[in-house]
Amino acid sequence: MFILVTGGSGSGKSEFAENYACKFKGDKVYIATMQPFGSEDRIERHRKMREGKGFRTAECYGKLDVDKADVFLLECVSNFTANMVFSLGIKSTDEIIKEILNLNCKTLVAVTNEIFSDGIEYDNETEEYMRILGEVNRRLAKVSDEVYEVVYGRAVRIK
Amino acid sequence: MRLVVGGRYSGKSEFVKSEYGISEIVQANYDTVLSESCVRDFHLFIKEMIKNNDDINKIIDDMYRLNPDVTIISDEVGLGVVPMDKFERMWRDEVGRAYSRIGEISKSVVRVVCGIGCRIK
Repeated sequence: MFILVTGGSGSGKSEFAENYACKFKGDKVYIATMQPFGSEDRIERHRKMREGKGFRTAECYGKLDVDKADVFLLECVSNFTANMVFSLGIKSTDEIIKEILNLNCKTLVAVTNEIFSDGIEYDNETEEYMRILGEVNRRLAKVSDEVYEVVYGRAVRIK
Repeated sequence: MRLVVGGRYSGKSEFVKSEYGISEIVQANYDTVLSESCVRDFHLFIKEMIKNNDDINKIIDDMYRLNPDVTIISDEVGLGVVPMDKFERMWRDEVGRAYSRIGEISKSVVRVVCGIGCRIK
């Protein structure tokens, strides 16, 4: 079972994804992809949010080197893609998607990010990253069982 | 008239090709919007119209009159921080207003997210 959750910043997509992942039985692993630079309040906030929900945390700042679990919560596809593109220089969407879809689990809930609608023209590097993430999002949505867009905390099922 | 909007790289053109069976998509400009069956980057054409001091509503009405079956593909550009630059601000506002006008007269409005078309009209 593969569930993709998207939405803008602060839309409530992480909270929805966590609660949704909690509904599945078995051991749950939270894959954290954001490298903590200094004090990131959001990391602390997410950590608090996960407390008591029974997640183990696996930190992956490059490829997704994790064993296996019943449920994986990948937070988030956009950070993971940035790590692949900028830290490891891997720009192939095939490789990026393979990492995600090869996760050994019964249920995967992946959170991604809507960063494409601000009308800003970015530098080439950022633009290339956005193009890659856009393609990753589309391809993941195509193979997912369910896709949700979270808007103001409401999860709208779009697939 | 049909409107298909969405963020950059959201899969709008792919959606139009697979859902509407359209094979040729051309850049929106003064000529193509009045003659072609599917135009893209309407948000950039709006930028051009602002620079030329055009009456955008009139051009939209002309499209509806002369090319009523046109499918318009365009980027959502108004979901970021309001820019400091006056022209950039005006552009986003005009894009939003143009989509509202087009949405009013279109038979369908689709918002594409992760390649999935979400029909909002």
